Amino acid sequence: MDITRKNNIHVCGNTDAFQTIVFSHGFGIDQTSFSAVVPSFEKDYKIVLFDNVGGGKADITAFSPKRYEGLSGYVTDLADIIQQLSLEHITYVGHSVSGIVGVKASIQYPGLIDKLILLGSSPRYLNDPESGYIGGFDKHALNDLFAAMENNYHAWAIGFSKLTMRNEDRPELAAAFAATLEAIRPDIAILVAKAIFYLDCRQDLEKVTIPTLVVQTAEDIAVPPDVSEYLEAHIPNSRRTKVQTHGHFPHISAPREVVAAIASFL
Amino acid sequence: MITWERKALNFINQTSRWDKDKHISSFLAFSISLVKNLTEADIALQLEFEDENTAKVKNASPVYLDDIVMNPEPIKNILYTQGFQTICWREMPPPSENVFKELLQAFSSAIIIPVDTTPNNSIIILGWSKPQTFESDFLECIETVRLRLKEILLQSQQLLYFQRVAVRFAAILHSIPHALVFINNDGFSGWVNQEAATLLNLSGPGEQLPAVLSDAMTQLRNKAINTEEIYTEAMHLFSSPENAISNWIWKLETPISKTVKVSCIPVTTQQVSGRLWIFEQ
Repeated sequence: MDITRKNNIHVCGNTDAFQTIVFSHGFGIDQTSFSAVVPSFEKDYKIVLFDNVGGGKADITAFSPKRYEGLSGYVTDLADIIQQLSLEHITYVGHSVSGIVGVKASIQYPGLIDKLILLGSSPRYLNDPESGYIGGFDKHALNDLFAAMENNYHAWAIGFSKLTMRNEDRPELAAAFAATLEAIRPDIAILVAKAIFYLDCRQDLEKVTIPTLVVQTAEDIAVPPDVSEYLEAHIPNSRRTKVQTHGHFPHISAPREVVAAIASFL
Repeated sequence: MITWERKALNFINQTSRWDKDKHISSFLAFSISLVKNLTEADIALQLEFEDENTAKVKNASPVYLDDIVMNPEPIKNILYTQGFQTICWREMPPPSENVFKELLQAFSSAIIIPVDTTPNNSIIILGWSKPQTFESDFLECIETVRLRLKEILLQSQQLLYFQRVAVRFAAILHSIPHALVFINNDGFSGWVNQEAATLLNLSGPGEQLPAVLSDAMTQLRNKAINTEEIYTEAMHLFSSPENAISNWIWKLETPISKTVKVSCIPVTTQQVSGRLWIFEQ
């Protein structure tokens, strides 16, 4: 299958540039979520945008429950994109779960990525009382979340988009997120959500060898501050920066701050 | 010195003695780990072709390789060009031709063993850090191992399939609001759902001896106030193994007065012969 069609890949910016920035969106949104961030880097960087299979305008026929029941299928897709487009000198910006996809890809494919930027990412969403880890969700909360998705996906999408987007003074942001969530086939959304929320890749963090920037928002229901601190503490060559916006989507709600954070790390 | 022939026999012996009380899913992992030890490989894993988009690493040693997803097409191409025979890489091919480069980083030699277990075919990959010569007696050992691994894979897949089917059907049958009793004609096996276990005062749902079920159903029938009618219908029902009945009314008095509508249907397939009783309360 042609990978450009499969992942709806768009290459823009300075295609002759030495360095490349690959932007990868998180659950429930698509590559357009970076539209307010990308212009700031178009002059000096080759920019690669794509949609993860199951979301956006990626080829829906490429979706396989087996391939995408965990993150490994997305890791392989990312490696395929970078290798088939012969991309080099890459800074990878991964939002939410896609940040973890970048973490795993950097370990599984040494040399594939030069630098990692994790926007609102978490290695585990479920609390782990035994180790004292705070992921932000307990089992009861996750069971409720999946029950709500399965019972009435439409209603869940509206409620979840408001909770995670915050920025109540700009309701159009949550409405836009709800619209992209609702555009996803519910069975795919539930499968992907389970892959994300049951994820535990804490043991991978110490294997990351490339420079990493952890971007944390002021208040994020999906990723509490403890998680960002955990990432910084466990990824060897990492540092953490805060952007002063609420919600799980800083690149949408506060693109200027995210641009500044990325620029400071390039 | 242990010969390769002896190692092959050792593999068959040890896998035959595998503790069958353990969950079947650990059988293959145990077997692959055993191959790794016997061949002194540095890596051993199963790559299962799950669907046309997914080849997934399983039962890997080291375990951190588990769940890696690979693209099946280039791997299938190389298997096809080699006639689905075991592939021996005494030296690793250049990266452009090495479809397993993500798995076999910094290895010197490898063996790729196709194991045909349609529909979910697999390959077993062994890798060594130091160069290997793969002499003929070693390759004969690998062939023996391949045949035994195929048996193990088939056994594991079939048992897991049967377990899944059993769980699914039990869930469906326990959810039906009617009391269901199945009595096999072999005289040794019977099955009840939760509703039937409650109605017949049995210890629990699931497998029950036919003698226990017959006894419990007799006790239920004896609680009826229309035993004469029931007896007359029963005489007709059991006059031929092909007879069936529905809307058969059992009027019960104790513990509470209620009417139960009973059906009894012969179940005859190539593998199963018995009777299904359905009690609608």
